[in-house]
Amino acid sequence: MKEIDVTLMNMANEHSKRMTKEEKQAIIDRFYQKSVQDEEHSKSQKIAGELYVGRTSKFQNYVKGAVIGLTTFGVIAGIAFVGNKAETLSNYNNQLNHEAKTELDIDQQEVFHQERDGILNVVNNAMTDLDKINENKQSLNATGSYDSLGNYKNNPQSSTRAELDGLFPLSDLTKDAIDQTVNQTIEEYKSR
Amino acid sequence: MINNSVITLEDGNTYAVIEKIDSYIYLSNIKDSNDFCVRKQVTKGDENFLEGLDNKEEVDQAMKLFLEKHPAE
Repeated sequence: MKEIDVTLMNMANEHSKRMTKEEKQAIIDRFYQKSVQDEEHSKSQKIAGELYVGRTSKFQNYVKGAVIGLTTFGVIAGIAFVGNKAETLSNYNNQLNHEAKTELDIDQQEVFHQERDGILNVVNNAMTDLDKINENKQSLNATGSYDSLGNYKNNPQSSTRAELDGLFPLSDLTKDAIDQTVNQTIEEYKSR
Repeated sequence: MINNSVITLEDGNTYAVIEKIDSYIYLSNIKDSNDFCVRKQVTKGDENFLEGLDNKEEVDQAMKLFLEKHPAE
């Protein structure tokens, strides 16, 4: 998964050579913060009639530039979205391999490696593992302990995404879902 | 006359409507070319509202629609 992370990072950097990693992350964070329903950043507001893209030539020129800007940004945000998936799986696999070494006996480890080593197994398992992580994310989110960005509510110790290391930092919700999924998978292998 | 191609959001900044896809409205701050956001237009009775999206997944979905319509160079 590290190779995928590096490739994604290179692609993201290619599209934003003039921006630092921090600047890029700040723009992505601000975009999500302003776009998701939230009392502070995105209150419902009444509008008079339909909104539409302006048709005057002056406005159209502005819109053309802004569309290119948002398209470029969309590629970066899109890569961040895919990058978060890669980062999630990478994080999950690292934790799972560590737990397998320390928690499983020799026979269980053999079964573990038979089923998880090799490129085909890695690809097949990745889809299943992501589904499991997403299921756990949904049930954890239903507890109401996380905000719309997936970070802990009312926890001054919790890091914001901008404060975390890495181009694709994981939210508290994703990290907790990974922990839970690793534990479940290890328990499955223990019962073999 | 009401100009419905621009709107002032809760942060006090004026945003231009640069695209509409389904109910999604794509906005760009007219004074900051790196400041974008997506909102959705919701009709309740006879009134229209501009609202934030439900979660990050819906924002990603809205961006996918935008990128399908405006593929990157």
